[in-house]
Amino acid sequence: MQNLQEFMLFTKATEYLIAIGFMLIFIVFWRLLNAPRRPLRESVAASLEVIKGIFAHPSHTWAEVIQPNVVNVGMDKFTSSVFGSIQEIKLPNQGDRIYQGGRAWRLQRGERELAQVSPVSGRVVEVNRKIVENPELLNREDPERNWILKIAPTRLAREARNLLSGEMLSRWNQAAKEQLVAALVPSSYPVLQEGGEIKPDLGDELTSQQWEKISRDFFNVF
Amino acid sequence: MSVVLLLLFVAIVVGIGIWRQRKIAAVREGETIGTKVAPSWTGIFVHPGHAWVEVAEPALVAVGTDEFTRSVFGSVERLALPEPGTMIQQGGKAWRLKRGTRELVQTSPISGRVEEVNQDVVQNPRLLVEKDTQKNWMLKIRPLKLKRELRNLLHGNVLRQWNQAVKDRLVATLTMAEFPVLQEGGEIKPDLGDELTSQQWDKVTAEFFNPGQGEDK
Repeated sequence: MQNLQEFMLFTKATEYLIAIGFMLIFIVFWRLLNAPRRPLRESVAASLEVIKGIFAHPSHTWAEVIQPNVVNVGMDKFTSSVFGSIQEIKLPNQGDRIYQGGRAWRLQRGERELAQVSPVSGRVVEVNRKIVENPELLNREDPERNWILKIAPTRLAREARNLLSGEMLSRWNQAAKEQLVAALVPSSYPVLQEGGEIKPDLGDELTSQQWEKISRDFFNVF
Repeated sequence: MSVVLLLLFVAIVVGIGIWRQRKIAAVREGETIGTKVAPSWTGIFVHPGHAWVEVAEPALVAVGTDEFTRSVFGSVERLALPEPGTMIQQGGKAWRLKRGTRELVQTSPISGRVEEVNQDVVQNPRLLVEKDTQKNWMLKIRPLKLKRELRNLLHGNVLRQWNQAVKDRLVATLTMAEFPVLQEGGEIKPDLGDELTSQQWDKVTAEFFNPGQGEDK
């Protein structure tokens, strides 16, 4: 009789264990079933594709993949030339999330301001302190070597397709330069320096009216 | 008893899941509808993969393939478009154009849910040659992140710079072609694609329709 009781207890306990196990498995199954799906091409691309080189956003910021999960971002030479001497730069904090097309940083120079957008989405993993302490470095050194933020990207493979790169990027820069020259004619100072590049301190000579026009026409501000 | 409890448990988990999904969808919808059409959102916004967006109302935007694509692809014979209800992503696959063995997969210029498909262009893809966006649109999309994603597209003066760059690059790419690439007035010939060989087409695809591939510095 006792054996039978023990047997019944054992089987009941087993039944409970099976029921609890099923419940746990069901939660996992249901979450998997409803998890946001990434297209296969995207996930394969993200894991296998090595994205190299500079990728530029139409508002003159750039991204460069330096490690599989770290991207350097910064502003381009065009920005540092036409903005002029940067007196202050306001950056997000380490750990903040930023988005492709969303605010990345703000440049200031007296009354002049320029908010630039991020070329990629992700979490800020590092802020370039050297630049915060001495923003003029962005004018003095090649800005494409001067990263401003390091970002852990979240959707790099897809977002890179929204950016300009390679030969088309060079051609676009050339077209922007030609339009800048046309926009500033006639001006009392040279727009280009010897060698045909935009003068690196051009922004210091622009009047506020000229700056308004350039920020509207060249930085995708709308 | 155990069976009843199990069924109850399953119903609760499924119920919570459905409620959460509806809540997320409602929040997204609210975000979109709450956005007003800014005066500066007039005109078309173009993705580097040569698809455009036009904002008619903040809750619904029209998208289509740009004039450059129509010129270099040549006459489109068939179109494969996503079904209404499909979610598409900016930079993700949007549609496929076909012409004999020639195929082109284009990326979407905006993220959102496909609300409407232009059946006129599906049945008669030659309508794509129309310049009027009221006629040549392909999809109407309920956008998810309209304001932020529009900033990733080429617009206004920046778009003019881009178009100039594209034209210059096309002329350089087809420098050995036996036919003129530009027509009188300096614009790209509207039926250029009909003259391209398959090698030339492959080159054009690699150069102009694969944004985001980058290159070594």
